[in-house]
Amino acid sequence: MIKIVNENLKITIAVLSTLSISYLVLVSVIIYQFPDEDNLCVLQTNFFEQDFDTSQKIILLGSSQTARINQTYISDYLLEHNFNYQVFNLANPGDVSTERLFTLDKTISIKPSLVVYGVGYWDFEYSIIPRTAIQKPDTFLFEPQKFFHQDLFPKNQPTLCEHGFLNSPKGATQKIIRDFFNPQEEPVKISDPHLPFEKYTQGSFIIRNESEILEHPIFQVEFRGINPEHENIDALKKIITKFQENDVKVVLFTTPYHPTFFKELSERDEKDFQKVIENIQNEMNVNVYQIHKEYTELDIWNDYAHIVRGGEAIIVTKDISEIILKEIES
Amino acid sequence: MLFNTIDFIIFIIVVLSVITVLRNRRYQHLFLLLASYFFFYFSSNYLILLLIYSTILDFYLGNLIWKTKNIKKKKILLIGSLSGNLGLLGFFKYSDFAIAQFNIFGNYLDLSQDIPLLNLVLPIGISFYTFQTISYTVDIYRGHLTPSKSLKEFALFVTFFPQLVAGPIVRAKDFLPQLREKISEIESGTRLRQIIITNPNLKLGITIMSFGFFKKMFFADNLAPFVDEIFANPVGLESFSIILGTLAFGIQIYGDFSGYSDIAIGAALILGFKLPINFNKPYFATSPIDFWRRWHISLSSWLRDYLYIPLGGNRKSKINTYLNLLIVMFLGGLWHGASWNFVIWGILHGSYLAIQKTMEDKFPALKRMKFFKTKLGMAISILITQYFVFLAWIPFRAKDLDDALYAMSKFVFFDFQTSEIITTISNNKLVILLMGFFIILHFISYIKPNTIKNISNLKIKYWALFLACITMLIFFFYSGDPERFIYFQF
Repeated sequence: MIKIVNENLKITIAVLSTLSISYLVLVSVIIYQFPDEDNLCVLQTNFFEQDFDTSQKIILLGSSQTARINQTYISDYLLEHNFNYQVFNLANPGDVSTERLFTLDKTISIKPSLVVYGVGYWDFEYSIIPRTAIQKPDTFLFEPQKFFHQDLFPKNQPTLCEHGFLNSPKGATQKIIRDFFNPQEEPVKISDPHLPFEKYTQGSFIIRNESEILEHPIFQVEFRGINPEHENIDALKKIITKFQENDVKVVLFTTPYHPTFFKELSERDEKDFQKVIENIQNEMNVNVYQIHKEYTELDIWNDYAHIVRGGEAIIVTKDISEIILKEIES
Repeated sequence: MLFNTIDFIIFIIVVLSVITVLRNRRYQHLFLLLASYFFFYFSSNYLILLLIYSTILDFYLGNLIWKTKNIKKKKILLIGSLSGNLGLLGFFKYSDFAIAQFNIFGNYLDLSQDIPLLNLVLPIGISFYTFQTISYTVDIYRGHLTPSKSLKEFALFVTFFPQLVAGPIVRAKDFLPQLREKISEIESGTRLRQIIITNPNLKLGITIMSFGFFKKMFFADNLAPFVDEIFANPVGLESFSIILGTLAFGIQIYGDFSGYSDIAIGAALILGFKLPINFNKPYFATSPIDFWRRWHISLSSWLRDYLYIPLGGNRKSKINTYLNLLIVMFLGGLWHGASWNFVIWGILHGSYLAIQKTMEDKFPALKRMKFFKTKLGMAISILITQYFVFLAWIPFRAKDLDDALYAMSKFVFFDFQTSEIITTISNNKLVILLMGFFIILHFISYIKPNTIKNISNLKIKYWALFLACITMLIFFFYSGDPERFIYFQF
């Protein structure tokens, strides 16, 4: 018996060592290959650690779609109307409200007067295709999964910034392989202190026509449908509540999409999206400006979910500026 | 609970540790039962009641069937068991599908109102555990099995966590004796077996599990985005992309499901339980019949024993045999899900089997031809068989019938849009490399069937090195979001 246990212990140690060594190799390769200067967590830490002056501030929140709104234009527009505000666009690519919760307190500490939050279909999209999703029953009974993941070990903003690629090593591996076979020069990234969490390239200024949009890799990804019980809905409500509790006014706007997106969107998803938006609007008592279908006729598209930066696309920023003006005047 | 999550890793470590510490065999079995219930409750919550219902129903009906001498009464009790299980399965899995079909028919007849859908949550694993409990009562009815000695023992057979949610579908006559001490090769004693984690079982179990994780997380999960992309909107795509997407899906579903089965078999083996193999190099099948001896073996043998044979099998006329094959595969398709796509998949496979049977009946010499025993003959048989197997994967994966029909037509009638081929290849180099790597490994496992056993027999340092290679490949190609197992939806 003792022999069996000893042997089992050896096997267990071998397995644990294997796992640890493999993980160490992964971390070392990624850190060596990719110095982490664009890590969102690092960018966030640097931004929130600066000393902010006492001027009035407006903050834009959301994903890459919101990041296309020109904060400088808004600031100038307000100044023309005799309102002096610093406008920060704190949108970041792939942002969702569950992640945004991590920096909520820091955002409140800047003491913004108004928060303008951009939400779109992607925010409430199923994380996997519903056909392969495991449906969870609604229950009043104890939920161990929820207990372990939310109550016992809640998702907190890590104190140390994790390397972005460690959450999804596949991206790093693919890049290493690609660079090995086909080394390419990285495009120059442009940064703006008032758009601190997104560095963009010249590619975001290119207007694409419909056929180019259909061929763009982003269009090839299937929209997985609206999940009316998405965790981002609750997270968004929490964010709004916390802002309101701290006397920060919040307004929402729906981010614009290209007509090809609406062609693919099912009636059910459209209805579900409206339900989600109306639910947030009524429950949280916030104004929601639905502009997601306003620009379908215009030639301002970088891909099916993103307008280009600058040029004619400034019309979207202009409309947002008007919304902001209306809100601060009211 | 998903196997490919940290939740499961913690769960299995806790289970193995407690089993090692507990010496009392009764407590060990009780703990394993409670752990299995926890495993199910973790993601299914109150739907565990259905599992308990199924367990209690069949335990008592099984006993009553055994005790009753009257054949008529036995039959009534068996019907009770079948309707209790199939009713449950039918209600949760097919009621919305039936309502939707009724509404379509109603619209056709201009009936004014649609019946609202029930939108029921599909209980995970229901297709698997109902089949297990059905086999239990049917085997008792047939006199092939004596009832389980206690409810606890039967409950452990139904809920045993490695195979609970997606098989392999275990038969009671294979599992129940494993709970008892072995007296001889064929006989078990009355004492409960002490669960001891032995070195060879631990090593072999971990090796099998690591292969399972590798198939799922390296191959299936990395091919999934490409497959999703192709089948999101296949209409308009050229033949080469459709073929590539179909091949990728065939590999994805094999990696996904056989990966799950490997993890289940490995986890059970560590605890000293032998589960039946579920896959045996299916993409080297030389005929449709051979394919079903290699693919989802526990389901195909279940369908054979509890559906095909009771329908008459091949004992009646030839027409009846062909019809039985079609019925069995039609129901097998429907078992996968309430959708016409699965029905088409089932009917296609049913037709393949019927055609093979017809050919064998009409041209018996064909089967004996020496050519088909040669390497070239085998290779040709494999290629022809797999062509039809992969063709049938299209309706299985497509969103709807329109997509399926378009993709199938492109798969059958190659459009020779050669300019697109180079673009598709250059855009999907990694996917093609993965597929090539899979084919090589699948081929190695075909010509060297004892590979896994040999690896587990390696000296511990070499064995650990092998594990490190597999783990690193999994880590380096992990996308960050654990993909669900496809068969969880069935």
